[in-house]
Amino acid sequence: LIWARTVDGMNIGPVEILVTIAMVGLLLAALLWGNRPTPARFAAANGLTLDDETRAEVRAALRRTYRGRVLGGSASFVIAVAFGVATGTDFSFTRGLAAVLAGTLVGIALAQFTPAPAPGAVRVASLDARDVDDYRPRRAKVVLGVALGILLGYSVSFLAFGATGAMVVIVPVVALAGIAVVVLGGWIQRRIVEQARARVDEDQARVDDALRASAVRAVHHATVGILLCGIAFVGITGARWGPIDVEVAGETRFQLAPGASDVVTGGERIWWTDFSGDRHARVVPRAVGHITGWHQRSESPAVSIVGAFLALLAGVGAVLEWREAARAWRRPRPTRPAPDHPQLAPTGGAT
Amino acid sequence: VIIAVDISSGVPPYEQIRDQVSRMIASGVLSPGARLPTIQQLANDLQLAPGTVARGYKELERDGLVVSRRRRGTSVAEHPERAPAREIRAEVDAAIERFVLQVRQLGAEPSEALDRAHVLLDSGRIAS
Repeated sequence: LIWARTVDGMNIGPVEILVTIAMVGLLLAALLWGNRPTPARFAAANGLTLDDETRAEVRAALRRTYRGRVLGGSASFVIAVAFGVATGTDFSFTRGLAAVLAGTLVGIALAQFTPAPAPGAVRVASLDARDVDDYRPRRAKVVLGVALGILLGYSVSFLAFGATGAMVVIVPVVALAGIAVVVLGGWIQRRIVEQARARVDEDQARVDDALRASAVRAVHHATVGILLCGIAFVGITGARWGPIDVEVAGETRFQLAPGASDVVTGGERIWWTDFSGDRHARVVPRAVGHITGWHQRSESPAVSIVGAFLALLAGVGAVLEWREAARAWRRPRPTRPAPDHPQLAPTGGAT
Repeated sequence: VIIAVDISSGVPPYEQIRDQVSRMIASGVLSPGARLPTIQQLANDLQLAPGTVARGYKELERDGLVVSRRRRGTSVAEHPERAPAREIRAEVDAAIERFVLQVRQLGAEPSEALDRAHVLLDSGRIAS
């Protein structure tokens, strides 16, 4: 049972909560329905003509990837929220989005690895080398390199000029996680490209290539999105990480440790939540005076300003990458020469 | 360019890979510098163990037909030994003779068999 309560003067009760949930649900349903992959749109994006059998195979492959993405993202988000509730930490936008992207990454990857059909005695394969660079978007390596460079560069700057307490451990962990995600994303892309190709004729190979390219593209965007979430996290933390000076009767009398949030003052009292989530209160002796204000002090203004700027850009970028990962199936695969026809050795001499 | 491996034949799969690739290099179907699939890719496509494909590649490398580099994969050597045109013609003639013999032994209509052979050659498939 949800009890009505007052938040900042507004009555929020069961009806308001249910209406909000319904609206968010409808919006999500509309977004998911509007982005449902269909063989016709996939074929149009890649300039393919599909016969009935191939259309059925494409539909099945697109549905598998779609379900993997949606279920992976949703499950990961629920786990992240449950973990936050269990550990008593506040919900964070970057952590939530990073969880969705990580779930998307894993869900798409798992959807690609289906058991190969039972092999016959005679097995055929194309000798065309499939390379990951032929399937992922152009400049993918540059984008990934720049994002990772920014994450590592800012993390090092923050550690050198402002990180204290828990951040001395958390920031390197986030930076190392960024490297791990890049390695994992690359490995998944390679595995998708090297997956067994069931047929070798040219039309089938083009369809197969387009499906691989959409999966590789989705994994690439999810990888970049997770990196951007990491940048947003260290950026916003770097921008806000500093001791809080508390003024009593116009003079700074004491400090709150970095990481304090939800600071509320009233007369001689000040309440705040520390980095571990515990709520504290402190009372100033009446003889000293009233609390007149507080402000956050930055150990390094440059780190704070750059951090705020990066957090803003990376936050927006992560949302856009998530959107691109969801729409990867609509994008055409990068241009690549068509596979060669099988040839007999020339009868008139080697060419 | 298609490669086929028959695991029911008495010839080990790695030898079939070596023979077919070396034939394609010798005839010029695979040109110098052409990249070959990674061991994992070809093993997945042929549903063979990676070690089998690796052995085939290793023998090709030993014969000086392909070059393997750690980060760039395996590619056809820049100056592989090419078979003389006469040898290539002899191999094609032998393959055609085998085809004609089997068509006759099976009692198939020659024109129909030729039409089907044309379709397969043009379509890029090796089986209908």
